[in-house]
Amino acid sequence: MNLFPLRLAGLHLVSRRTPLALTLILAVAAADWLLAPLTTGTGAFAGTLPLVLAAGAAGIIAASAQSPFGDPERATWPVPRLRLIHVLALTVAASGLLGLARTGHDPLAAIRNVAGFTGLALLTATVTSAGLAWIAPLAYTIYCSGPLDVRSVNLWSWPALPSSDHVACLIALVLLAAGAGCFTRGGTRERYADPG
Amino acid sequence: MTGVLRIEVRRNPAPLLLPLLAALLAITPLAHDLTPVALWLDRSVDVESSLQLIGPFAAGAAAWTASRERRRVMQDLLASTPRDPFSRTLAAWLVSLGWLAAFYLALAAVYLSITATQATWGGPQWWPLATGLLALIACSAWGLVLGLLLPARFSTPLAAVGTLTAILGVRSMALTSYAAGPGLLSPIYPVFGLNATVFYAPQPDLALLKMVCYLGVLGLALGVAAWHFRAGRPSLRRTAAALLAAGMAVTVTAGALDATARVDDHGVIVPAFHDAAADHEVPYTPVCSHTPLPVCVHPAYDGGHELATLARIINRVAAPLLGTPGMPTRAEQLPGAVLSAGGVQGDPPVLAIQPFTIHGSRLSPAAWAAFYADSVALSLVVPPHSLITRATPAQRAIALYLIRHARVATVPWLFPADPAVTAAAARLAALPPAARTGWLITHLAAIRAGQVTPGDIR
Repeated sequence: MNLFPLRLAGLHLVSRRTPLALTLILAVAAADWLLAPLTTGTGAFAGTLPLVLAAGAAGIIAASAQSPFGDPERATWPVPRLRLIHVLALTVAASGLLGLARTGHDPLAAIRNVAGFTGLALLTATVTSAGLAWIAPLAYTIYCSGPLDVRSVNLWSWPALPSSDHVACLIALVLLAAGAGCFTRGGTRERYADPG
Repeated sequence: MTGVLRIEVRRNPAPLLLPLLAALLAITPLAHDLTPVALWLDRSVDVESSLQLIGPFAAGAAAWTASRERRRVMQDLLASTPRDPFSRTLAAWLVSLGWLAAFYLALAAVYLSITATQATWGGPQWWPLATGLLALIACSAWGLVLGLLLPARFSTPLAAVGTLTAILGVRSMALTSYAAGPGLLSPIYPVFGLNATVFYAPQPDLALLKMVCYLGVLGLALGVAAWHFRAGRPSLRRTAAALLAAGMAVTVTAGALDATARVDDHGVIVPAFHDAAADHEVPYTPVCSHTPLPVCVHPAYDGGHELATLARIINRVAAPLLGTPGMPTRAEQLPGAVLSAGGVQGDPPVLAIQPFTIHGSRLSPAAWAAFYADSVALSLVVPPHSLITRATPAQRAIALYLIRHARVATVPWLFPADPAVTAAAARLAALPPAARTGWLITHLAAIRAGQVTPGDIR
């Protein structure tokens, strides 16, 4: 038994529209880089913009997780491993790209937020569907804009904390582990196959 | 078409978002702002700024609905039904938009009803509500376009995130440039400034400009959507071209008008829409506290704990100087007054205070409360209309003495570490009250003129 079926992994990634997802994540990172001058202040808008883009990258990763085959695929043996390869590859790429885009503006916080939001989106995808997985990270980002506005950021709004906050990093890692774990084990919740 | 709409109302996914939106509204600062003080225009602007929350979800819902047929591989099956794809998509979009618009209007009704029971001045203002509604329609229309053009799985997150990025990004431009510009066109840029709320007759210039812009953006979006379906219905080609041309023309016009806009105490002035005759001050009789140093506010701010809170803070800070010649005989809320540019002005001397709303019975967060008290202390000793950040070391020493006497925290960037200033403040505090008052009476004019050094304070 081949533990890392390279050809199968490639086909799996293509079936999840990974190249398009990567292109879109690249576009999000480019937007993050272009908008960086608008995020230098301490206000709610400046603080929320990078979070929105991190949530966008997470939404794309989760949307990409949807299977175009539906139930038949669930019966095959290597799918959990392929799911893990897929989600980790996209998360690493998104974290790297958004971190690079935020160079000079706390890039580690951007990496942490992509990881945490991806976990949140994957958890949502397992409960609702991959297409609606963006709702939780985006809603959470909007919630975080409140504490940013009144300057009372705490662990409940961990994405708004600086990267030096270790507990916020731990929360993001736990979310990513939980999201990736649930998704790898059971996939996203879908009522029908999505060809798109 | 009515039948299609009726079916769509039952099966549209947008209502599932409404509980989430209500929950989000309840935990954001918008809900906190519902405690007095209640200013009509402030509340109307709050409803408009709820677009930051509703707009992305309206775009997401529209994209999700628009991509439905493709997502479920239903195009061939539905080709046999009487309605063409454009009509079906339009019906689905209208219903999706209708649910979110109904939510927005319900939110406005709740906000204004609560305000009606709390406000002490003025009446409801409809311009912010109208611009907010039009912005919501434009957000939803661009969600429709993305749902039609992009692959189904990615269109929804991109529509929602793209909308919020656009709203926040354009709004941030207004913050970074500190001047009129594209930032004014963001749906969450206040149509009216707080000063215009009570001191001047509100001018609808910016509301009209925004409405022109959003109409143009809406025309462009509907044009692109119609163009997408041109193959199935050839007559749509002309409609799409007309919508695109009109949308482009209106949007460019809005951009050109935006370039002529300027911001002042009265709000945003757009010359093409400005009615100079209607732009005037609104007379009022201030409401004052019965404290050693009377604090006066506009009657609109009389509804909650604003007056009591301001009077408590200002009197605590100014207490050691009360009765000193040259010190203010009252503090008064004035249009154009800003915290960062302080100073006692006029004869008899008045401490001008910036209008802002206090929700609840104290200033929060603590950093803001400290900044406010520190700026009051510095305002008492700097020359009229001068920046408090440019206070001389002697002026900072007197202010530091006041702050310490009032037992308030100091803000580091207003009071940078300076041993000479700290020592001078301590020497002033150590003087007997009569000697301190005598020294201040003698030196106040020189302190304000910047002719005293910390070493002179003894």
